[in-house]
This record gives sequence, C-alpha cells and structure tokens, in this order.
Amino acid sequence: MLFNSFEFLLFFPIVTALFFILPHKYRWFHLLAASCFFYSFFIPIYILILFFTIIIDYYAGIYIEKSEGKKKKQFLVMSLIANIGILMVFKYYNFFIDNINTAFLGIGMHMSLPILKIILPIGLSFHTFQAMSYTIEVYRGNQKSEKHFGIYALYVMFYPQLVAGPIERPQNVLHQFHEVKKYDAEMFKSGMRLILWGLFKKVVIGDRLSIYVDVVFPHPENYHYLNLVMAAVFFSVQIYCDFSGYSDIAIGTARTMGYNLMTNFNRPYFSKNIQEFWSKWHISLSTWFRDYLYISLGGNRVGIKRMYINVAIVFIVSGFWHGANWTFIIWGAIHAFLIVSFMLYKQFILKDSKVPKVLSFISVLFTFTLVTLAWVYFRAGSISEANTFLQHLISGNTSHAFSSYVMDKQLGFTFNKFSIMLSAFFVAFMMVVEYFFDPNLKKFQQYKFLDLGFFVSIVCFIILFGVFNNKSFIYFQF
Amino acid sequence: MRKFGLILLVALVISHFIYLFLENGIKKFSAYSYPRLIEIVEGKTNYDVLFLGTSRTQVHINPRITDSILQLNTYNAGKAGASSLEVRMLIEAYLTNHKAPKYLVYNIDHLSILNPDKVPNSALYLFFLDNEAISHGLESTYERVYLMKYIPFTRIMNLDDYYRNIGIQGNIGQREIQKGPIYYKGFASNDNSKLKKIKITKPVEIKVPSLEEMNRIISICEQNKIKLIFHYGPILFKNNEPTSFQRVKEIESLAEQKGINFLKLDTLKTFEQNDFFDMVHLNRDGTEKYSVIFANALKPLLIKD
Repeated sequence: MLFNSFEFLLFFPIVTALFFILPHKYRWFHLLAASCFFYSFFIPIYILILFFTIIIDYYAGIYIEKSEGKKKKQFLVMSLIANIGILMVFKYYNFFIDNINTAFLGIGMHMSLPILKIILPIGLSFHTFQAMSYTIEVYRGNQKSEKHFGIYALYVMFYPQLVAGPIERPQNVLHQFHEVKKYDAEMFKSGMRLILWGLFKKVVIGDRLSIYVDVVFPHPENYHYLNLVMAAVFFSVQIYCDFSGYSDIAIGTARTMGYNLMTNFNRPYFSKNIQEFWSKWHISLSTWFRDYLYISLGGNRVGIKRMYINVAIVFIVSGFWHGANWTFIIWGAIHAFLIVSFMLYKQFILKDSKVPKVLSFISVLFTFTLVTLAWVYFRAGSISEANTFLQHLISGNTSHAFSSYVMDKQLGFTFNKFSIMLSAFFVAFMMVVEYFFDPNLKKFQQYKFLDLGFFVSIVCFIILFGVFNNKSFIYFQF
Repeated sequence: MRKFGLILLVALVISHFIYLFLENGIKKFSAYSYPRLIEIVEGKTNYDVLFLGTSRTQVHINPRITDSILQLNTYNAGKAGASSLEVRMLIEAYLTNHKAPKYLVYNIDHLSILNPDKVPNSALYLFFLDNEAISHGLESTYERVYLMKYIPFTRIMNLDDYYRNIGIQGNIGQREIQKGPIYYKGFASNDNSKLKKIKITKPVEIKVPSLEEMNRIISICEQNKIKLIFHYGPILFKNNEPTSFQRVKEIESLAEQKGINFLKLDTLKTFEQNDFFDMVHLNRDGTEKYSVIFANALKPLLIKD
C-alpha cells in the first residue's frame, strides 16, 4: 500500500483508531495484522520471505544470547547468511549472472547461465538490514533477545517503516512495543504534522518534478543542455522530497500511536561539505553502515591508509545496497572518491582552520552541485545513458532548442512554465520551513497561530496542487 | 483530535472555494471547447447529421458548408485525440438528451482501431459527471469517479498544471479562441499557415488492431436507427502510407461486412502541400475547399435514403 494512495487514507485512521480502542495486550497483534495487510497490497506471497527471516532471526537472537564463544558467533553467522542469502537470491542473483554471461561472451564463449524471472520483493533491503541489526546487537550484548515472537515480528514488520525505513535499531524500537501507549494529543498532532509535511513534499514537489525528470532522463541527446541542467537539479530535489517525504510520513504515522522512530533526514542540502551531507542524508542507513560495516572493518582504529580504504568500501557497498546495477556502484564510488578527497583536504590543507562564513553559501552550492552530478548515475537506466547525459550537459549541447514544456504521454500529465513557477514556489517554501524548524517540526508547537496556518495551508496545497498519479516511492525498489 | 477535525474542515472548505474559482476559470478559458461539450452532452437542439472522430473531423468539416450543401442541420462533434472509446462515450452522452441523429459520419483514424483503456485529454468531461454515459465512460481513466461526482473539489486532484494554469488565466480574461481559425457549430479550423517542410515521421504502429469498440458504436447506431457512414479524409500520403494502409484495410473490410458506406477521400489529388497546416491536418483554406468536396460526396449517400 502506498502512503499517497486512497487506500492508505482509509487504512491509517482505522488502524490508528483501533489501536487506541484495543487494550494494550492485543495491540501487538493488531499492528502485526495491519502490517501484513499493508504489505500484502504489493505481492502477497512475498510475505513468506519476511516470515522466513523473522523465524530465523527470532530463534537466532535467543540462541546467540544463550550461547558463548564460537557457538555464539555461529548462530550470528547463520542468521546473517540467511538474511544476506535472501538478498542475494532476490536482488543480486540476476545481476551477477548477467555479468558472468557478458564476461563469457567477451571471451568468445556463448554460455548463458539462467536468469531468474522474479520481481524484487518491495523494501527487501530495508527489512533485511533491520533484521540483521537485531541479531548483531544481541551478539554485541547491546540488546536482550526478544522472547515475545509477535513483538519481534512486529519489530521487523511495523508497517510505517516496513518498506522504506527508517532502518531502526532494536534498542530504539523493541522496548516501545512493550510500553503501554496512551493517546497523547501533542504526539498525535506532531505525527499528523509530519504526515502532512511528508505528503506535501511527495505529491506537491517530488511527483511534479518527476514528470519532467522521467521524460528528459531517458533521452538526454534530444534536449538542450539547460534542459539537462534542469532535469539533474529537479531529480536532486525530487529524490529528497520523495524519500524524506516517505520518512516523514513513516515517522509521523508511528508517532500518532505514540512510537518514536529515528530521524532519517536533517536538511542534507544545507550541508557545507560531502561529509556533512552524509551525516544528514538517509541517517538510518549511514549509521547502519558505520556501526556494522565500517567499525567491523576496523573503522578509524587502523592506519590512515586502511581507514580511507574502509571508507571507500562502505560507500561502494552502500551504492550496491541501493540496487543491483553498475550505475549504483558507480554512484557509490563517486561518493567514496568525494568523501575520501574531502577527508584528505581536511587533514592536509584545511587542518584546524575553519571555512570563513562568507564562503559557507558557496560551500553549500558546491556540495549540492557535486551531489546533483552524482545523482545522474543513480537516476540513469544505464552507465551509457548517464555518460551521454553528462556529456551533453558539460559540452553545452544546443542542437535542440530549450523547452520548458514536456508531456508524459503515459500519464497524460504536462509540465510547463506554470509547473516551474509552482515548483520554485513550493521548493522555496519547503526550504524556509526546513531551515527555520527542526526536522521533526516540533518547534511549530511554540507558535499556535503559525501552526494552525501551517496545517490548513498544507492540506490545501496537497489537495489543490498535488500530483496524484499513484506514483510509487523511489526507494521502494530497494 | 476534535481540533484536528476542525482544521481539516476549514482546509476542505478553503480548497472547495479555490476549486470553484479554478473551475470557473477553466470553463471561461475554454470558450470554444466547453460550450461545444455542453451542446453535445446537455444541448436540446436535435441534429440530422453528427460528425465524429479525431481532430481530423474537428478541423476538417465546416458545418456552415455541409448545412448549406446537404440542406440538413449538421454538427461537428469531433475531438482531438478521440479514440473509439471516447467516440462511443460521446455518442451515448449525446443520446441521453437528444433525439438520435439520422446520420453519423465517423472519420477513421488509427485511434479507431485501437482499444485504449483511457480517455485522453478528458479534463473537461469532469464537469459533466452527472451524465451517466460520461461518468461511466471515465471509469477506466480515473479512479473513484463517484468521489469526483459528489465531492467536486476532488476533481482538481486529477488535473495537471495545464488546467490549473488556465483556471487562473480564464479568470483574468484569457480565452482559447484565436483570431485566425473559424469557429462554427463545433467546428474549429486551423489558421491559414501553410506546411513549410514535409517531415517524414515514423508512422503510428498498431500492433494489435481491435474493432471491439468500433463494433459497439455500430450496434449503438443500429439500436437507435442511425445510419453510420465511415469517412477517411485527406492526408499527405508520403508520410502515413503504412499506417493508412493498415487502418483503411481494417475498416474497409468491416464496412463491407456490415454494409456500411465508406467515404474514402484520402487520395484526392486536389490537395497539395499548400493546403496543409501540418502532415495530417488541412489549413483554413484547405478545410474550406475540403468541406465542399466532402459534403458533395456525402450528399448522394444521404439522398439514397
């Protein structure tokens, strides 16, 4: 079920109302059933994959806690193999086979290993990583194993964050499912504020810009370079609005029932450098890689050369986490290069001196430009498409006239000058709100009239200017 | 929770009023398209001959000329991009408030032999959801048509920025009607620009032609005792040969099978590049010339009855 669908408009109030009506002891079951229903809107049979990992990790957690030494490690490895194995089969198998077949062809051997005809289960990388964080934390002794099977299942399947995060840690969420939650008007209001804000970013800004991006990106050779600049910038904004919008709705939905999920975005496009950007973008994934991969590789306790290699590995793996395509690996590698370069710059040139304030704005613009150029690989269907895009953009292709009008023939939606004006206005509005308020918008509580105006105008903006084309969230595919 | 309900209510009321403002603007801006839809769906004038089809009907047949040559009351109900699904919806909508016309002349296009599941460019129909034929016909295009019917402001959620923009433009006095073209009884010609360069574009490929919707149109005509006539107007042949060939072949055999007259006027030598506005549409002078030829060709088919 999509957060921006009519079904969710009915599902959410019913589930939330029932949650408060039911006594505490039945709530876990209610939420679990609701989460199964939510997930089964995609491909119902895939719920079995979730059940499989839930059973494995539930017992793995208990046995890891009970065991000592080598056996403890064996249970952890078993759990990790099960989770990564599922990821490998459903997400990466075809990628590897495809590359092996291409390699064989390259050396003149016509061997074709079979490709699996399967659709990637929605949000697989998210719930697999969340499940893995549980067994790792139990292994590290930071979390006690969960004995209540239903509550553990709910930890993995909690519908607000099931398909696109935030990727939670057991320490933050599990205990909350045991707590008795009472209706809290302020929490509810704060949750609703986030839901509306997320929906606004998704349907008013993200989906509007996607009309333009989806038309221009597949055929960069047919567009003036300024169209390509626009498409690249639009995609930067689109992906932020799409994904942070999803996170806001997820966090807000959980909050209406009294649950706190971790912040996933903290105004990343206001970052002054790439390192700061990564501390503010998809925080739940960045910290996951930091805690479970970077530290496991030795983190910064190793030599300086090795540390940079560790950083590079983390970013390349992070790119591959996003999708089984070379474009994502290259995107990860670009960020690895940028971040290592920045670290070197900081270490050897900048040292302890601070960047003068006047240069802050330029730093923000520069960081945004680098991130935007890297997104081209993320968005493009193939490396050659991305290369063509950048080639035409950088060479200043003017063989086609600049056009501010495009039409998505499949959707029958147009993007024109008026769309540009609307987008500019709403992006400016978003930037002002996100610059002056905290990521969870709690500050609004201090200004009653402003809060009221905010609520009313956001609902009006969604109704009057939303693009309702039932477009899925970008990160669902991961 | 009650306070939040109140906030929601205020927002919905505001949205409703802004929607009314935009709806008013869209209707005013569409000074040609909207009144002709009123005429087709809600009008009371009964016409003898109805011309239906795509833009090649809309911009090619001038009822001022056909009225005078045929000595009948004719109306041009062609619509740009109309598929057979949309044509059927229009006929059904017309029949809800009008006496059945004696003749229905349907200009064949590649869209006539497709079974599209959507009605493209259907925004203006959203103001006619009280008509059963329209609301039923749009069910494949929009989800929850009933919501749009009973909660009007939800219609705006299905409009794109073009319509939002003209909603504002219409309220500040802008209109779609231009100086060059001729407007009369549903007809809107192109202006008199001449096609400068022949562009050889890839013809529309019809992988799976289907006559399902076309057969529905035929049966509606039979039920209402309307004589159906197929028509195929002029095109710059060089470009459209493969597509034309396919569509004409399909329709010819259907017409033969069902005993329907087929007015095939696509290969007229009278029309040259100067008569065309683009590859498939005549300009204003070309249309004036063609309307006369068309009406004279149609006349014997009507007199026979």
